[in-house]
This record gives sequence, structure tokens and C-alpha cells, in this order.
Amino acid sequence: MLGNLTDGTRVVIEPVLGHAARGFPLPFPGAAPGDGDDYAHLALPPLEPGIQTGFCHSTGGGWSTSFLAHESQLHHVPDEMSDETAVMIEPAAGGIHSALLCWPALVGVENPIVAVLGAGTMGLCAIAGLRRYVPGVKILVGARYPHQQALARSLGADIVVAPDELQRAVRREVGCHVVGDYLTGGTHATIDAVGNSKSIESCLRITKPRGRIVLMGMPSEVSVDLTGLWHRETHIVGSYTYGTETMPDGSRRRTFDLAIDTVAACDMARMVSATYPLDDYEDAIAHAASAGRRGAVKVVFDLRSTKEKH
Amino acid sequence: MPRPGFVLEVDRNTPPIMFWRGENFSLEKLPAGRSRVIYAPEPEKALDDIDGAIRHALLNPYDHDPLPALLFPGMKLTIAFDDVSLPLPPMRRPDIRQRVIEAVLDLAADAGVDDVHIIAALALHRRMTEAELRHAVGDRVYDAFAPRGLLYQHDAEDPEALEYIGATPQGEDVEINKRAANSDLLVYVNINLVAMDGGWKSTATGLSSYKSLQHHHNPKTMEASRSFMDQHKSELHKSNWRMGKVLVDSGVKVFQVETTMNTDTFPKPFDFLSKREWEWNAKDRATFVGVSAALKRTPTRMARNIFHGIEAPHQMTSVQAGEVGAVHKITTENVYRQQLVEVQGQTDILTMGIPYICPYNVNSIMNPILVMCMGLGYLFNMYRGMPLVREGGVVIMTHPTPWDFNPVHHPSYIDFFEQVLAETTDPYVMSQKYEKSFAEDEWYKHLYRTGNAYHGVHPFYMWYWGSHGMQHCSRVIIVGGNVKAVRRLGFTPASTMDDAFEIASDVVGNTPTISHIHAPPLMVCDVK
Repeated sequence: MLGNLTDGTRVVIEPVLGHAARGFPLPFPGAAPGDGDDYAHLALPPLEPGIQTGFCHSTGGGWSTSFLAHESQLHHVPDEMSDETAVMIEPAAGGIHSALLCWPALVGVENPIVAVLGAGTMGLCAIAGLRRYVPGVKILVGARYPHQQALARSLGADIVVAPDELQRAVRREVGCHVVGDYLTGGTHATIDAVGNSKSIESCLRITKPRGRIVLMGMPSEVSVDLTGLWHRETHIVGSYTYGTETMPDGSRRRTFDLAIDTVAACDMARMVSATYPLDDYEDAIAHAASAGRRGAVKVVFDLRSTKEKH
Repeated sequence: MPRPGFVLEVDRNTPPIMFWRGENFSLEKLPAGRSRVIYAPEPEKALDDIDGAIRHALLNPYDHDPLPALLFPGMKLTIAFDDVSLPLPPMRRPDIRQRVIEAVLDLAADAGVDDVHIIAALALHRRMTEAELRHAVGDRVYDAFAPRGLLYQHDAEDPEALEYIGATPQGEDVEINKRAANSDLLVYVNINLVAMDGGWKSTATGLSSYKSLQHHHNPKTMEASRSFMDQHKSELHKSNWRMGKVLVDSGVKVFQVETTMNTDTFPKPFDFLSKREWEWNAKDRATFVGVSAALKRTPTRMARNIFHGIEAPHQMTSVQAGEVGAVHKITTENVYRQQLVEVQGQTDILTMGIPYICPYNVNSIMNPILVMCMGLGYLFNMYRGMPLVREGGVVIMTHPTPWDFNPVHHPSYIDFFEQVLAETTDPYVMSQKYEKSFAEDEWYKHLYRTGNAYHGVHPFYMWYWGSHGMQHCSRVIIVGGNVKAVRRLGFTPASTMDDAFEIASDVVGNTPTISHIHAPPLMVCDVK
């Protein structure tokens, strides 16, 4: 969400309704809204339940010309940055968070290999995050559509193949064998940017024993044979939004700060494929739902002229 | 007296010409007045007494002592034989190899030789199945040797089973099967289906390793082999001959047995496939219509099984034994006698129907890489003198070119198609960037050694095989192929032959001259 404050300042919103926004003490000084290991604040007043702006009755949401936000959620947009670039900050932050969640599996590894399943907006943002913030990593990507494959390459992926070719590509790169449906080795970490039963199974097959799977795509209910996870002792971690990151050099950075740098450096405005006025929300949703096969990446609402009318 | 090969000038009365399309065929009308169709010579008469001829060859070799004089008690005798890639289609039992091996074993037994190993000389090809081995050597030989571990398949990735012999003056490493190298005598049993086969290629290639093969199976050598069917103008053969000299100089004793076959390729009811269309009778026409219509409705896998079940009636036309070079000279003459067709000049376009089989998909799938190899590697190279198509001309093939691979036989082909061809179709670029990693991939090695997989590097060799054709032609069009697969090969897809001619007109104009090589049956075009 990109918008203007009442004083005209241009900001993007970090939509997580964290401790500060809900009037709770921060889990540590300077914590971001997504930080902390106790989510009690999500369930308690003064705000209605809801994990993010847009899912909470008390705040409203981005599909409107105005809504409420806490100052802890605001990030100023550099003056020189276009709106199209700035609107990519929030998804970029999500991708960077997933990329950095791979790091614990890569510490001390000489030639780290990470695979990314899916190259929609979030998968592409994860690729950008890996390339910028995870040193020396080789990135393999399973991307379905040609425009996704091209973007994945331009954002720094080393090897980009069709999703059903990814397992063979990983095997070649790692130089391992195959036992049944599983590679004997595999990637050190895999980011699942799809989030369904099939993609999770694919991740389990291509991630090396005791490797790490970062679940970025929201899986909901899935049916997965976890035998592989069991005998390979695979780590699966969820990747929800963003917060404060521990960088490979040990320093601490806000994910949104990293994202603001990233969208500018990677020219992410090119990923905004279409804009719709809010009145055309049905078309916008249909477009977003079929973005891949229609050659699109990110579909956004553009309320700038709408706002002027009111 | 069989009729020689024939070049038909197409006129208005010429019937449509049959084109192979994998596990089916079609009839295509070629433009009158500027097209010609080249037909193979009719099959020569097979030898009346094949076993007698084999025995005669073993007892009366060229530039060599008779085989019995080379056999003695306590000696190490190794018999190597060509693998499943020959002959095509597989021949009816008894296979030539069985007959020759049995004759050699009879003589060995007479001489009191009891240390005999029999080795399938498959180089980097896939291991044969038991059924395929039994077909090649016969049940009697198989049952006598295989259970005791004395009949086995060359393993080019077993360092314990290889021996480094030396290097040619050009620095080409010569490494072959250790048992063969250390035997008192190596008898090589060959089937010379085309002029490219045999000679020192038998031992120096069939029993060697990647370390040796990489010196001649590379883009530079392949591109400079013009053609593979003319050994004196083939860098591939020159390299093998240099390696042969290293083998001889090091003391490896080879007794070469080479055989040639006639072109009696298809049994009934498929024998019409060998006929010239204007000579088809009513039964042939009805068979063609019935078979092609039925095949259109037949699932691909079943059609594949039908065709790969064909055992050819082709039979031996000559057998000669002795010193490798001397034997191969006569063998080559015999192959040319059966297959050579004189053709005047080149044309703008060369058309070819790609059949269901090539040396590397026996009982398997003709995947897109093999389609390319069969077209540009084999049929394009079936010439002596100069190619049938002029430099800068166009090759048009017909084949469904399915995006389909046999994962047991061709695992590295899948990766080659997905990874390498997605990036480059340039043989030189891929050889530099990818060949080594495929050749040394442990998983491919494992599948080659313990399963029935072609070696990891094999798809590269298939691609290099077509490098002369690719370099020579300005465009390659595949009619009726899977569009995505054809594009991945770097070729142009066309839905009909007329479309293909239309596409080709960009390069060769609207009234190009056309040659159609009507193979199989196999032939070598002597282009003057």
C-alpha cells in the first residue's frame, strides 16, 4: 500500500498490526511490527482482531481512498522514487524476509544452492532478495511462464527452468543421485513461493537431508506425504511478512529498509503489469488470478485519480 | 540380378512419394520438373552357405595367419562383438554375430583354448538386456558363458577394467578394455551395416572410454568428416586409424572379422516400404492405406512396439577376416557394391523421412535429439563426394518429433534437452561449457554402469554427429513435429510439406531443386 499522509507525505504501509499499533510494549527496543514471539496482542483490544491492515475492522484497508495506520507502520518513500516502484516495496520485503530465512541453512557452506519454486511476484522478490543479501548463493528457479523466466534471470537467478524440470536441474547442479522420487542430496534451502501440496512435495524432494524449506506461499490445507521430511530430517519454516532481519554479517536491519533499497536497485517498477481503478475490481481480481498466463506479474489498484474526485 | 540404385526424375505422372514419419508414413507430392527421388539398390543375393563362408574366412584371412594358427592352449582369447546398435532393424535369428562367435569358439575348442571372454563392445552405449544379448550371440553361447561371468559388457567407467595404451602423435589418448588389451588374441566380430562401421573404429571406439573417445567425438572432428561414409575424407576415421596404429605398436593382436549385409530391410507386410512407389501393386497400395490409417488410431506406445518388433530379413552378403586394414578395405568395397547410387550434382533442398529407428533407440523412443542425429548426422551424411544438398541449402525432414524420452535409456538426454539446448545449439559452445560436467556426472555414470542408460556424454555426441549438416545447411525444417520440440532443436516447424517448401523459399527461392533420399533401405549417394 502506497499513499499520502494527511500532510501530503508519501509513505508505504507495513501492514502488520504489531505491538506498537495495538498499544502493547515492544518485544525489544526498535522492534518492527512483525517481530516478537508472543502474538497475544493480535487477540486483545483495543483494536478488533486481525493480523494486518485490511483484515481488521478497526483500521480499514488499502482498497479505499483512506484508512487508519499507526505511525509504527509507516515508511517514507524517497522523493525520487516513482509510485510504481514504491508499490513494490511491500512484496519485496516479503521476498527478502524469505531469502534471509534461508541463511541459517547456508552458514559455513562453501557453495550454497537455493531453489525457488514459483516466480510470481513473491517468488521474483525472493530471487531479488537472495541475490542482494545472501552472499555467493547459486539460485535455481522453477518458473512456469516465459516472462517469469526472463524476470527471474534478470533479477539474478543462475538457472531458470520449467517447474517440472527443476528437480533434474537441481540434481545436475548438485551432482547427486536419485532414490525413488527424492534426490540423494539437494539444495541447502528451498523457498516455496507457490504453497500447495504439490509444491511442498517438490521442495521435500529437492532439498538435501537436514536442509531447510522456507514456506512463503500460504499453503492453507494441504495433503503431503511427510515420509521424506521425517527420514531426511528436513526443516520447514514459515515465512510470514517481514520484521527485523539478522543479516549474514550479523547486523540487524528492518526488512522494509532493505526493500526500499531493493526496489530501486532492481527496477522493480517493471513488475507492475497493470493498474485498475477500484471500480473495476472484478477485472482486476480476474487479471491478478490469471496473471501468469496473461503475461503479468503484479496487478495493482491505482486510486490516485479516484482520490482527486473525492 | 538385383537392380542398382535409381534416381527418379519427378514428372507430372510420378505418384506421390512415401515419406517416413517415425512410427507412420505419409505420401507427399514432390514438384515436377525439379525434384528427384533416390532409391537404394535392390538387395543383393545373400550368401548361400553362411556358416561355410564364415569358416572359410577364418581359415583364409587377409594379411594374417589363419585363426587356428593363432590359437593355443593356455592362451587368453577375447571375442568382442558389435552391440545392439547394429544391425537395423535387428535381424532374424540366428544373428550374424552368433554364427561368427560360434565358429570362432569351435576353433578355440579344437585348439584347447579354455580362457575365453566374450565382450559386448558398447563403448558409451547403453548396456544390452539379457534378451538382446541372447538375440545377438544365441542362447547356446549365452548360457555357456554369461552365468560364469565370461560374457559381459564393456564398462567404459570401470577404471579397473581399462588399460591406457598410449597416445598418437597428435596426442590422442588410447585407452581400451583391459582384458582385450592383455589377451593373446582379440577377435572382433563386426556387422558392417554402413560404410562408416568397422575397421579400427571397432576396437578403438567400441572398447574404449571417454578419455579416448573425446579425441574424435567432438565438433571439430565431426564437422571435418565429409562424410562419415567416406573413410578417406573422415577425420573421425583418421583418428581411429591413428589409434589403431598405437594398439598394434603396443602389441595388441587383433583378428578382425567383418560382415556385410544386404538391404532386405522389411519383412511382409511391410515389404512395400522398400519398393518404388510406381511399382506398388494393388495389394501394396491397400496395405499402405490400411497400415497408415490403423497407425493413426494406434496409441504411440503400441505403434512403437509394433515397429520395434520388426525383425529384418536382411542377410549376410560377405564375410572377411584378418588384419584390420586389409579386411576393412574389402568390407567397404562390399558395402559400396550394395549401397552406392550415383547421383549427379547437388540440389537446393534435401528431403528425408525419418523412420522409427536409429542406432540409439532400439527398443526405445526416437527422442528429438535422435531425430536431429538421424537426419543431419546419418541421412545427410549418406554421401560420397559432396552432400546431396548444396551449401546454404535446406533440409526438410518429416517426423512427429515428440517431446518424449525414455528415462531409462536416455536420462542425460532429458537434461541435455532441457538445459543445454535451452541455452545453445552450437556444438562448440556446448562442448566447452557443458560436455565435461555431463561426462563426469556420477549419477549418469551409475545409470550407465548398472542400468541400461547411455553414458552422460552421449547426447553431446549425437549433437556433434549433426554438426557438419548444421554447418552446411542454412535452415532445417521438420514437417509434422511437435512445435516446441522442433524449436528447441533450433529448427523450423512446418505442418505440411507445402508449408515447408514455402518456408524454405526464403532461402532457396520459389523454384528450388529437390532431392529426396528414399531411405531406408540404406544407400550411399555417390554425388558427382
